[in-house]
Amino acid sequence: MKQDFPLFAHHPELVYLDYANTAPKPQSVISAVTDYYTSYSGNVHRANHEIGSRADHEYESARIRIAKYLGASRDEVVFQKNTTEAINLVAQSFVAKLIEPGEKILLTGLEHHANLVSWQLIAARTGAQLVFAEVDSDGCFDEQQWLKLLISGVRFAAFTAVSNVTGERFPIEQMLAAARGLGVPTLIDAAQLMPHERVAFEKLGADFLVFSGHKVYGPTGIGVLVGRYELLQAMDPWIGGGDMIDTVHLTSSTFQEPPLRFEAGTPPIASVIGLGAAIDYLHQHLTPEHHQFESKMMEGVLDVLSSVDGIRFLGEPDAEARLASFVIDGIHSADLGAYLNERHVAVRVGKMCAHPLLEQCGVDSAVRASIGLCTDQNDIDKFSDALIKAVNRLR
Amino acid sequence: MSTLQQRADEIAEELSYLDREERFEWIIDTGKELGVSEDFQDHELVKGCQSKVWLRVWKEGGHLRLIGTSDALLVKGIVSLLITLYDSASPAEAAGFDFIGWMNENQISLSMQRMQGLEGMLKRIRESS
Repeated sequence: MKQDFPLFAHHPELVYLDYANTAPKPQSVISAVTDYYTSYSGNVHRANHEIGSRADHEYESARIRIAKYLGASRDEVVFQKNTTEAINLVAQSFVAKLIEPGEKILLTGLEHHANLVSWQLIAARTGAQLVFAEVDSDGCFDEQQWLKLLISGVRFAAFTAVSNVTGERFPIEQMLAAARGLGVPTLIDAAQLMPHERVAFEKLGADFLVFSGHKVYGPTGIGVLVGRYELLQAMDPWIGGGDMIDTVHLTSSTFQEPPLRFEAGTPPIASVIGLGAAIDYLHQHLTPEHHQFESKMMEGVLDVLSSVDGIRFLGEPDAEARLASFVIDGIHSADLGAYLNERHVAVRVGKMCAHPLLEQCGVDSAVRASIGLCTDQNDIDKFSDALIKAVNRLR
Repeated sequence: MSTLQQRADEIAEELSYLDREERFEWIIDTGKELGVSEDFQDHELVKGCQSKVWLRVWKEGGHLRLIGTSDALLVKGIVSLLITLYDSASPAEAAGFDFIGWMNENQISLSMQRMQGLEGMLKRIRESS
């Protein structure tokens, strides 16, 4: 698959193990973006000429393909800047209107900052209370405790589908069924799930689902909010401007129907079109066979890591995970990351935008290796060599 | 007694025999060799680093004095370099020396994040000069 990705032609030595941070881009995505700028760089939704019509057509065609891939209707797909902005839209336009002072928003101790700080802002504004399903000292999610909190009465629940630190996939199907049963609206942060698993929005039964384009092999600057249409329709816009209005007077305006209501101003047109191409690529390559292959590669990564003396994982990553975070006794994570980089191995070092979780695990800074569509046995072998050398040298 | 520039030139000459990979290994060794006997206080921590860096800078008889360390080996190597170069330098010498430029000239590779921490260390040296 690497032949589809120009990044690897430019860096033949590169062992890229930082997919969970951002994914490389296939040529088809790069071409979709450059085609827009070279052949039809008009604006959308206001076209009275051919160039603009073509842009409009490609932009909305991307929306339709993304909706189809996700099993949602096209009007349920809202383009935002990234996962973070999509969560903030739901927080500001849906939850802030719904929630009363003292009512609870249920989160987990495994959220990355996007799905934490957005809710802290809402809690501060509305007087709502944030409650957290706990994580044990190994960083594992306690589903029973989450259910207990849910039953105790919450107004909204937001949770990640896959932890960006431990790689644990939450039992989201059961969690969503329980929330639905109690009439609690939900938001799923699918940023780490979408690159590895095809998600069926309607079937899943979440009210909102968010993900980022750049982690699914698409451009940066584009993310998606998928929301149940009747909920989107009841939401006020959060950001005002052009493109999202129906009628405008000097002192008041009426707004477009969703999704355009939430896409004020000229959107990142090329990025949306690029994301359409990325979703086409996922559609083609994220097959059950490939899923098995990724599991085999993950097993390889875990074998390499487990062979190191004094390694400690955050959480309990297994072959079904697509990332593993770890610390090694006597070696600073920053040193390990730098040493691996010298051997052309790219990993993530630091707190992974999840400071509270690392604190819970008693870790200041960790290393994360994450795999994706292009990871192959050659990567695992080189990673193994580099890691063994690093451990011998840095201890 | 040698000047800061002389010490920098000596190290540069030593490095000129090494390739990129060997220079990286050299920094690791330099870090491993830095002996630290002091206990440092929290206020001596330098902000903006991925790892913990302690740096104490003071003046003695009109000259700069430095001690420091880090919990990460590569950063410790950089701290060791700073000590070798700046310890016993005059404030004027310190102000006239471009450490980052010198690192670049000598191809000592550093990630951007580590550079941010380095800015903090250099700022502390400047403020104490």
